[in-house]
Amino acid sequence: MKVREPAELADPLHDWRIREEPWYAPVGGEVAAFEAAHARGLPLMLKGPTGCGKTRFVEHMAWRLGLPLITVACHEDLSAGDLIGRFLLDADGTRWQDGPLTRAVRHGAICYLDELVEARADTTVLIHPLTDARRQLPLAATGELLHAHPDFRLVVSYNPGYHGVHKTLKASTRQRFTALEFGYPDAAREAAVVMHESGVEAATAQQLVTLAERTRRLAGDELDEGASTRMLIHAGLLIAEGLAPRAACLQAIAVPLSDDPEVGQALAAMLDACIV
Amino acid sequence: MPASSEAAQPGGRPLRIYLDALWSVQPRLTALATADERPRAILSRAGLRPVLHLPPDDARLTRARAAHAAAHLAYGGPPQPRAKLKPIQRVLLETLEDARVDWLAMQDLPGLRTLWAPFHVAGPDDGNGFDALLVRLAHALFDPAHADGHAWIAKVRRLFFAADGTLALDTPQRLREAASLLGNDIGQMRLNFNAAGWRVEPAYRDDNHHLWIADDSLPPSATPLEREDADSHGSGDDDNEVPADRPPPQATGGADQGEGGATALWSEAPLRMLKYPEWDRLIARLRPDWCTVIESRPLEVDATALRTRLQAQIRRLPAAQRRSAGRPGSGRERDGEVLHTEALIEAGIALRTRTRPPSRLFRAARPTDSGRDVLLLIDASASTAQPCADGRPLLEHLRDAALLAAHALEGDGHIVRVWAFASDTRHRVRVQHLKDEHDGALDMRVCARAAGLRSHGSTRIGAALRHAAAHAPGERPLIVLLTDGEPHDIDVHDPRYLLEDVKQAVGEARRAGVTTQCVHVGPAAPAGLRSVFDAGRCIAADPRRIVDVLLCGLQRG
Repeated sequence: MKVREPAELADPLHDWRIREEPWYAPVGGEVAAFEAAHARGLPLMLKGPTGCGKTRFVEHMAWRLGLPLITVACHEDLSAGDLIGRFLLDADGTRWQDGPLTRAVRHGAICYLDELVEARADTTVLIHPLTDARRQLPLAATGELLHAHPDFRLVVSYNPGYHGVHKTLKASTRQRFTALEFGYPDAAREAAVVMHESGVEAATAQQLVTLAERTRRLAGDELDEGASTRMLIHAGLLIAEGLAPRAACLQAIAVPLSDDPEVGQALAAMLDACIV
Repeated sequence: MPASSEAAQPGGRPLRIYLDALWSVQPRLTALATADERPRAILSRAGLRPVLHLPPDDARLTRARAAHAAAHLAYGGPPQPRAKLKPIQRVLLETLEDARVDWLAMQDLPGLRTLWAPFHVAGPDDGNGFDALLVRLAHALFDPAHADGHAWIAKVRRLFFAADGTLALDTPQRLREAASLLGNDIGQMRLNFNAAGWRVEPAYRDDNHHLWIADDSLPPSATPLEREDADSHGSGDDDNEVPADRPPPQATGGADQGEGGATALWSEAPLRMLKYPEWDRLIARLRPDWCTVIESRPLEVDATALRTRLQAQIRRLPAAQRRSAGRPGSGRERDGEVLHTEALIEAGIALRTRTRPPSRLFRAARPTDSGRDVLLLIDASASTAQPCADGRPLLEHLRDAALLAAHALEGDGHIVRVWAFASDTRHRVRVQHLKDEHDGALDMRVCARAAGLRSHGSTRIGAALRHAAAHAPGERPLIVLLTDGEPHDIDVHDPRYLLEDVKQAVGEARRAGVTTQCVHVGPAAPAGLRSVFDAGRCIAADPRRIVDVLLCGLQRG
């Protein structure tokens, strides 16, 4: 059993504080936009394709603002109890355990709901009273009405790209948020990100970015989405580890992108054209 | 992958994706049947869509050929007149242009050098005839590090590349001047050129006839292909060889058959004829029994290619759309397969507090939401024969999207019908049943009818909507109109008349409990059309995204 340090006992959000600066290269005015929303306590929605840096941006901003960050990866079976908390049974009887959302509301943290659209609609409506002037969270199970800590902020991310029939945000949910649109950075910036994160040379990073740009042309048609910046970083890390560039790109980009053998062939050929 | 329609070019799909992704070019790929021992690829740019004829060869050479042709398409200019260029000068210009597009392509995609380099093998040992010099020149221009040693080749290199290694011959005019000049050198070197026996080298380069404006005064090319190029606006159905006698685009809706046209359009027997009222905005009332709707089925034509393509596309529908109900939901049931966590905890608490525990401890098998009755109504008016960006007529996009959406929605428990409509005055508003309630979306007969659908006539939306709304028997009926324009018919000259009628028909449907929705294909729905549908029920969609929009739209509706 883990022995709790005094600091952890005193600070219930100890584990969620970010101590090292997460590296992030701003693309436009998103840092100022986040700070403005933070200053006014407005909830924020980050829209953009997978692996373009949304989560890293939130981590960076949490560090910048000195706030703890509680991240919840939403999924379709995420229930209200998973967010708010539930009664647990132990030897002494029942005990209330705060869920991640309740913890952030009670003690003051940024609650980041990653891929909110994946959560069921009935779970999503839970956040409604937190996102307007009320800033409350009613806990039906305990009969408690929780008023949000002044430091509580809500940030959600949402990838509008590939979701189908059952995957859109209700208007009543989306209209509560201010939103920032994220895309992949331009070629030069993306190459700089890949270089910084993976440690590859400029020329290699540039080739990786060229390959990614070409795969993105297939998005929505042959592929759900093109290669993300995250995939390029993975490829770069494998190259920096000593793998041949072609093998690294196959492993990190071409093979994960598609299960269709013919698309796979095309991706392998594209890789030959882009990577030396 | 099932046997695809690209029978003419085995392995065509990966190659097509490759070209589209790297250069954003979409040539039609066909196999070149030739008895030639050293065949060369032939690129045709005469039609709206380029055609690349590829001789049968191993995958590497085929890819090298396709990449080179794509470089021509991506970096080449319009065809030039042969004018006064002599054969030697022409072939020099071709060699320089080949080297230029290869060089530009390799600047963007450095890996292409590895693809093409193995084909450049010529050197001083090949001799000093003009043919040999051309091949050596191609090698020397391809690889600036290659040492050839011939003075004339060194001169061409100095002309071709600037001092800093970039291209010096960067405009068609400069290329042409250089070719003229270098041709004179060849003449002074007393070298002969046999144009008839000349074959471009290395093997991945195409015969370059696309660089020149066709000239009737010259003898025809050894491989007569221009005959086919006229129809290369072709639909993407089919990177098959298409018969040269295909009808013009305004009469065709599908490329799944080579024949058919306006004459066949009204020939099939009507299933029934019904009269509907129409709203006259000037007298502000309905004119009773004003429009005649003729129900029919389209002619059935062979639809193997269409069906194969749809089946391939179904696999690419996002997974969430294909997953049908049947997963455990959030509700609770007395019986089931998966225990409900919250219910168990509540039961535990109840047992300890000695209160009555809940009896429903299992998760419900599926959501109780039942399916809707959905009718997808396709506008098949003449304007849908217009080709989209990918060269295929819009009607094919509408039709394919409707069938794919029908398939996906039926998987989710909805009942889906697909109809198409077009009008020719108020006396003939034809509604064709492609798919009815009991047909599967990909049944052979449904595909055959869909393939037989033709663009024709005008767009009298109101009558079609009334007919559709009158035949919506199921749960929470929804009519989705797929169109590319506003209502129009040749017997109506007041632009507001038919729009007001659609508004009226939408209102009638709403009062009868039928929801109507419109998906307009194009950048933005016209304001007129948006104003007649209920707020938010007229959405614009890109031709390639119709399925997604349909599926998303249905959830909102």
